[in-house]
Amino acid sequence: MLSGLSHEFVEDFRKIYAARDIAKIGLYLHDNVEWTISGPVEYLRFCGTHRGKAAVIDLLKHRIPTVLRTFRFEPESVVVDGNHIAMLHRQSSRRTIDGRVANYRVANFMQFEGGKLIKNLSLLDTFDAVEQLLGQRIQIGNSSSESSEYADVVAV
Amino acid sequence: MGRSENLGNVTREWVEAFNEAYAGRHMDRLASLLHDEVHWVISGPVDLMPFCGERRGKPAVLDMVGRIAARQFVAVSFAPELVLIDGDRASTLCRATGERAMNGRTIGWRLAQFMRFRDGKIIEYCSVIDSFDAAEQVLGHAIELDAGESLGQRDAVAV
Repeated sequence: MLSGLSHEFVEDFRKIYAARDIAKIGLYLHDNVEWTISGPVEYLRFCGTHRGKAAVIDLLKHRIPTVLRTFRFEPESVVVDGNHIAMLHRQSSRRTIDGRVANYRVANFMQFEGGKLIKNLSLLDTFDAVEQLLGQRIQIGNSSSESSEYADVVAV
Repeated sequence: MGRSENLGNVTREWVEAFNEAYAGRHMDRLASLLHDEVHWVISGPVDLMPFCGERRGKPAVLDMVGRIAARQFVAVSFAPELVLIDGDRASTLCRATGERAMNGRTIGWRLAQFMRFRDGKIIEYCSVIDSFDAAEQVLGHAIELDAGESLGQRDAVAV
């Protein structure tokens, strides 16, 4: 592993991020931080790329909680290499408008510069997240032609 | 989670070899890189992408790669953007592309992979993708949800 972030530093940050302690998260953010959440903006309105410390704090403090509030963020894997972190968490959130619960995995790839977070990319199982938050299966228009390819396949 | 005491064993070469064997479906090579008791998870809609889901044991993973995934994609390639190594764990961020078996259309997605190795072989594997986007690409059209459903304030500005 290259010299860079210590595991202690990463774990301190991870716990603060898991707790969504926005004031403390802000201390770790680079002024020019770029924060991207990959997903359908039309249904998960916080998805997209957010640039600058103020925009990211607004994202974490206001825009995401408008849609959902995370109450559990359990680590499954944390990989630290140089100034990069890859984290895999099991996230549990409640839809803000009615408390409906959704559970899904989230991957974060983070890059630090001078001890500050300069870049984050979040990937999550957005299909599953949207279904859970809607509380219903997404009806796929032509799924029959897709599924017919796999008539003998048992889902696991 | 928990960090293993068996640190320092994973090499970049192992990870690259795995990516090549997995994407290229080099089954003998892939088999040599999997632990017999491997636990394998690909997050995503199983109904639409049957290679997603949870599998346990080398035969189940090899069947998924060599048969189930092959029925959906005739060719897959991974272009790594990031490869992170940390003790017995590794993670990669890749640009994946796949040629659909059904119609030859090529689709692309970003793939987050998390691996843990034991005795030089993968014992845990989990991948995460933006599955909504991948599903739309597989379908070849946008997924339209009930306009009455809202997952956020309608006056929010998309970015």
